[in-house]
Amino acid sequence: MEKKRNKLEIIRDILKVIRERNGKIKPTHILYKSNLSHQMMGDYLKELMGKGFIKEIKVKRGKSYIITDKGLDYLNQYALITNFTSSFGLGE
Amino acid sequence: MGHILYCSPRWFYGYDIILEIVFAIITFAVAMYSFRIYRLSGQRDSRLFGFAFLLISASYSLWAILNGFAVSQLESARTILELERANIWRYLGIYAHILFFLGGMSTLTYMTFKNKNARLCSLIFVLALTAVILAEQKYIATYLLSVILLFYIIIEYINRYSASKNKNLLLTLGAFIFLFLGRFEFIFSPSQNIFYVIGHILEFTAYILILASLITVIKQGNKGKRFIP
Repeated sequence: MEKKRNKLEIIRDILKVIRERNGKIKPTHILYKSNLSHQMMGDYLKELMGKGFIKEIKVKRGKSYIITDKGLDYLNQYALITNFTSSFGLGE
Repeated sequence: MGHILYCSPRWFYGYDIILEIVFAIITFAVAMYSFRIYRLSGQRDSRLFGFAFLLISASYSLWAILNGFAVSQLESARTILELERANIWRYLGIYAHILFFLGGMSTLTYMTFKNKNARLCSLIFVLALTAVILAEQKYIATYLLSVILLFYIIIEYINRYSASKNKNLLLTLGAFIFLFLGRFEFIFSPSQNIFYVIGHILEFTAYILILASLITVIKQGNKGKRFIP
């Protein structure tokens, strides 16, 4: 049985999916690739937009999400973030 | 309260101030790094942890500065009035230390409850502060409260370590245990000032462990940067 992902891992997975799609992705693809329920994905997307990691943009057929520089920073510094939070017992 | 002035053995004057400056620097470094992690991750816990350590750093800085000033005044004091003035600086240092340290400890304790209601944090702090204000022996009351708060923090960190088995987390847990023991020793320092020295040594060990944990994180983080996940 696979280990349950923590919040930092889920955020990383969503951002990775967007980055792998050249920084722009439709919500259905995020849903498919991130392995989350529709409700959870919506909550995470809202949170990521609130944190400035992604932006919502209007496209012809609905909306898409793009990764921001802050989101890319998160991915680049992911090892540092997880090491710090696990070493000092932090986690929301 | 006059006995507070003599908690430190005379030969330890100066060494305690140096140690407090070291504690202030280490806790400040942890606070700044936590804020950096918060900027990168937007994680609320990192911001709170940074805030708690910033308060603890302020508590040691103020203690060291005002303590140092009081000691220099004491050395040159020739009249009772001058001695009393030196005493006032010493008390100010201790009260500033009490206020900020309890603020930091209250924040860390609040974090262990995993509750997002900030009123809980203010409740812990206000209760702790009220207990100190009402206590006749404020010095002992402060350290006793710190010991109680640290006990709850340690219990939470034992649970977290049992779940993760992370070696760095063990260092952090060890640091809180040494801090707990250090604060416990301080309780007895008004009756025997050697406990003041032992308390400082135990706290020094605690902050060295925290520093070791931080350095390991930075080293591992730099390694990880080469491999973008």
